[in-house]
Amino acid sequence: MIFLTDDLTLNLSNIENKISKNELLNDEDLKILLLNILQLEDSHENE
Amino acid sequence: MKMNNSSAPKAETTHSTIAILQTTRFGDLIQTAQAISDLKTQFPHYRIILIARSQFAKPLDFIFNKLVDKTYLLDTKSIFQNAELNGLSTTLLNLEAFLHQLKTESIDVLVNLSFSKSSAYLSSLITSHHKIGAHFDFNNRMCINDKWSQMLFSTVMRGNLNPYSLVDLFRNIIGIKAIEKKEKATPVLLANKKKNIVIHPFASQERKSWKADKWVEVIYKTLKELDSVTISIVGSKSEFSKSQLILDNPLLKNYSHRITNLTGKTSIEQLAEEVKNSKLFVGHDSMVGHLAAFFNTTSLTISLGSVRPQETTPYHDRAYNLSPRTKCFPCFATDNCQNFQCHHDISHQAVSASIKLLLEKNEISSSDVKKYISSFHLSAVNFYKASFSNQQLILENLIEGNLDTAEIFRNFFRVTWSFIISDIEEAVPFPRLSTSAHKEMLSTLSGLQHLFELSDFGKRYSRYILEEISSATPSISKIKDFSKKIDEIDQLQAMVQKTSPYLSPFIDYFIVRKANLQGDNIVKLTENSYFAFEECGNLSKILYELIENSITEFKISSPRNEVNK
Repeated sequence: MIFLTDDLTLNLSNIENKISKNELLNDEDLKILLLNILQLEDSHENE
Repeated sequence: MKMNNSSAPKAETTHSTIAILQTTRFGDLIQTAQAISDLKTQFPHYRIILIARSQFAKPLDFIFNKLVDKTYLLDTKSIFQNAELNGLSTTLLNLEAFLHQLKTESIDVLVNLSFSKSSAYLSSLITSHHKIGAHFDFNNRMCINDKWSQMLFSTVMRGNLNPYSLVDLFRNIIGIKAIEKKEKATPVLLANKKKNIVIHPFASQERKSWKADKWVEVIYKTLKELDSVTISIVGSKSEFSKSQLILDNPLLKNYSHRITNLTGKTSIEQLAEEVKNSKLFVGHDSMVGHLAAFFNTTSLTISLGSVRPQETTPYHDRAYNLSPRTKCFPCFATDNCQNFQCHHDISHQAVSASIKLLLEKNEISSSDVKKYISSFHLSAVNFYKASFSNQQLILENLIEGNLDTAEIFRNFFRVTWSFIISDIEEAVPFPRLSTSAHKEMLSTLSGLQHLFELSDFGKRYSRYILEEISSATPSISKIKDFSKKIDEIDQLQAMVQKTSPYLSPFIDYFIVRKANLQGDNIVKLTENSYFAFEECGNLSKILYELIENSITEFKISSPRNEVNK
């Protein structure tokens, strides 16, 4: 169940940008990172 | 466990809440339940909540509903429902709804027992006064602040030198003191169990389980030699075709009326009931073995492939384990392997003979192994029996002889970690050293010397930084130079690891420990760096002394020519 929608991809690249600039993340960013990993784990479990 | 710094006995008068976060699978959850069971016994007034993945925790509700006050289920199916249509915003709202439920709890301590990225992110999003285990900070840096979690993170599934059972590590992380185990399987309890063996002949990976024909031999021999015994084969729906491969074997044709195939036909609760009422569980490393431990059923586990018996042997004193002495055992799940030599090194005869002994005598001793199991079938295996020492699970080898080097180091590490981290003194007899173990010990001594000297340098340069900061005119360039020296020490420690691989657990622990130095300014960080180096030096000193004394003992008890070989 991978739902790499455009908005998730965009958000992830924004977060990557922040990390590369050593900017602090916020709760929203952590939530997106969590969702991204959860969907990857789920798709791995379904294999 | 220290709940806060105030001297008021808050825990005694109010219901402090401990949240246990465990997002991994069934086996880990059952082992977590065993640790929670001890937490509940020692701190009955605490409110305990569990946060777990829905698909794993829901089927185990029959266990957790007696242990925890509330379970919060992270249901990814509903979080991601219609995600493709509705996009990220709805999914985020679903996740927020889950987190909002948790906000209604006033969590005093959140303990993350699962070392996955997802659980660390989840931990960072849950509000709690204190956090134990992995979580992320706003720099996207994984933080592990407590020493037992650092130890787990740096050693579990990394090699074969972790001496602790996962349940004990969970208990240590939570901060549960050693308590006397009250529940013992008395002869009366054992007599009430039916003469049935539950066999789970499958595992999550091919490398961890025998092929069907070996299990056919075990089942055939057991049913042929033990008239009144019946067998239940258990497993998940996806393992049904594998179970048919066993049952369709012509060798078992005459015994089919004594075999029940429950594969894919039971819920986990029904499976637990079957295990609970049976006299013995036999199988590979899987959650069924942990269910056996939870319900006090004797178990015989055959560990293969990447399984580390010290970490996952069912946590009770009626657990037996057969592991191969194959050089590459335990491997890693990603290692390429075609031959599965470890599968061949454990014979089906050794398993059948052990089953017979366990059913007839209820337990197996070292002398039973010598008397009843042919040495031909034991030449390439370790046969462990679990027991408790200082209320922590240990595996005793029932096959007499010299311990292998890894086993000796595991015992030494147990003594050292327990003393340094938990202030517990463990008594371990001096090991009988083989010539090769003696050589390995000698070479490790020089590695330890280097490690000790490096720790001393680390302390010295940390002190120089502190002295420079406190001087009237601190020089930034001097501080930078000292800091560079500390970086060099870290690199040199990594080189010691290459030349003395048996020191890996220490060095890996220090990498994690130093990556998680606490402090929000350079003084605090440097002070903690000093303490980390001091701890490294102390660990090295204790291990050095243990090895040195073992070698001395070995020299006294061995003829001169043996030592000099």
